[in-house]
Amino acid sequence: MLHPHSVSMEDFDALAGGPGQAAIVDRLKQAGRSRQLILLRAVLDRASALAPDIGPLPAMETAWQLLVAAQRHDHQAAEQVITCPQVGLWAAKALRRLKNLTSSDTPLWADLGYLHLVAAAAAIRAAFDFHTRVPVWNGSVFLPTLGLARLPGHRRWDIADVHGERSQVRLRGSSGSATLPRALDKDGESWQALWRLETGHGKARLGVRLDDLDPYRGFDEPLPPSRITSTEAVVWQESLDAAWRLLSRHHPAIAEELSAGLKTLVPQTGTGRFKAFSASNADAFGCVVLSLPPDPMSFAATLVHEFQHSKLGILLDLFPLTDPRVTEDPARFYAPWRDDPRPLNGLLHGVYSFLGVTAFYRAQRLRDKEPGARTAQYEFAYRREQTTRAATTLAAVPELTRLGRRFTATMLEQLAEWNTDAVPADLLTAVRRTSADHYATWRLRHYLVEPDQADELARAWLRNRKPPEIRLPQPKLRDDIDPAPGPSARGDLTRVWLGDPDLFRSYLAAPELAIADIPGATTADLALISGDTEAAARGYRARLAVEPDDLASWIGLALTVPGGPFTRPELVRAVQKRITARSGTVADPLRLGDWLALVR
Amino acid sequence: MRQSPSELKSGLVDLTGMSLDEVRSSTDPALLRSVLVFADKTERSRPVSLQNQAETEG
Repeated sequence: MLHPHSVSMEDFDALAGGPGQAAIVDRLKQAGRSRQLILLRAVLDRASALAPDIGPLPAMETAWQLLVAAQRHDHQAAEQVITCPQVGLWAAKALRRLKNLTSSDTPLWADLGYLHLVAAAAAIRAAFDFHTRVPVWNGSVFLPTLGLARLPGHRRWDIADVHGERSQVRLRGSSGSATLPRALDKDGESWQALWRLETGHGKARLGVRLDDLDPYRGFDEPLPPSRITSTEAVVWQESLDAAWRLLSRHHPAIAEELSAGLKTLVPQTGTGRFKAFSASNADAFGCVVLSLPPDPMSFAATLVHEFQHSKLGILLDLFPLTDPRVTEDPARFYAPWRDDPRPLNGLLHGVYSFLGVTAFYRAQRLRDKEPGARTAQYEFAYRREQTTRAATTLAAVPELTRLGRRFTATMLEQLAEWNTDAVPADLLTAVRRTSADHYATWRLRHYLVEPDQADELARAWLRNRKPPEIRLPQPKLRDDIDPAPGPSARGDLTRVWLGDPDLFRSYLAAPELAIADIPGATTADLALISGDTEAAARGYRARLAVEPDDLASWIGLALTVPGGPFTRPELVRAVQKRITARSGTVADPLRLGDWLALVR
Repeated sequence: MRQSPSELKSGLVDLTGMSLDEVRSSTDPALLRSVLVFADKTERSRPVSLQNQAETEG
């Protein structure tokens, strides 16, 4: 009788307390491996029962038998392939396709044929004589964990025979053939090797694939290869080296944890100067999709952030932290790091990820020198505030299981301890302003105000009366949620103010530079960030006189008031609009906000 | 007050040390139960990527 994976309560609590648990990560990794094999078994069982049209490929059982043979010849060779994160992702996707739950532009036989590619890769690694048949996509044959072979011909979908003999691999397609180089870790004729990044040494050694080739590297529909240049690969290596030096010197426990679990980085094009992209997927433990972070500190923080998602993904597979009977999980929560409402699962993941990021910056702020130390102090205080707010929301959610409540309570205990850490006053002011800015913007964009109530309040205002005795309901989300990112100019300017004071001074001297550099930035924003609230208020009022619907300036004006913006900005805005509709006049939002503060 | 168990046991069978051949052919009830539970859970869940700007859901 086989035994289940288990986790001691002590380890469970340690995981909830933050990053830096390499021994526990080793066990989670083993659980992830078991899960991946269970899904592969499920795919084979389903395929056996359903007998899907596998087209010109041999049966899936044939691929599995090749994988079995590879494991017999070289256990480690097979292990490297079957534990690849993309294999888990593929297995989950294949199960959904076999159940007819997902549609795809990829024919089913080619999608299922990834198992033949997995088996061929394992056989090549195990270096024994074999023969199999694999799918070809636009002349490309991707061999997981190894690289991509090019064949003549460009039919969208095709097949090729793969022969391995005396460690020489030949592929024969419908329009020609290719012989792979003996050393598959380097590019050769008809062959592109997966990049491999190695850094550090000993326990703090990290080896990851830099994957620009695997069709399943983007977590969604199969992607065509998007080869980065060798120069770009060198930049990735050097950037990882710098991030890893920082991690292994100052955060050895986190480095050890990442070393144990991180397997693949997938390079992605960046989305802007302050908008580094990163993503992970619960079906692909140890795989991170990311744009090249701008500096070592943010690279390290990104790895910490995404690996927290990986760990939680496995933990949630082992133990439900939210009630599994609740199948609907609508986007409904405010998560301070996102511009759109989040579902419960997203909120939980976000809290756990930012708990890790907060822990990272908490230690980093004491290690770094200026101006990095100020940025780390700010990031620590900002992430601490965001995570505490979201974890407090999470703790009140009735759908948490007993373990979910314990996990959340442990995170909150950890945050409470960190909330006593001192941070310079000017940075705390900046954190509070940025947090208030984001929350007010989120409420304005996503909360609905009952038109009748807004109208009743507008009428009272226009009659110079006190607000009527009405009880406002709990705010509701709009039906038409706008998923687009909200305005972010003030957040971006704050990061310049922190990280590049010389540039910020240049912006103050010549605001047109800031306006050109940072989309949406205004002179009023510059004044606000530099602490001149009077000039900021004048600037926002002047702008609103010309563009009364400028949301960012409207909230900017509210931020100039000591104590921050209104409790219910969406109500102030809705009533202001009704006043304008009824009278043609524009009520001063600050006065209106004070007046509406009297409403319960 | 009920004391928490010191060890949490999951519904996922530990396949450490099992060959791929055994993974395919085993009729161990714990393994079969894991296959059933995880296949069902996977089939019924939507693939969700956790992304720092906007979520993609397939």
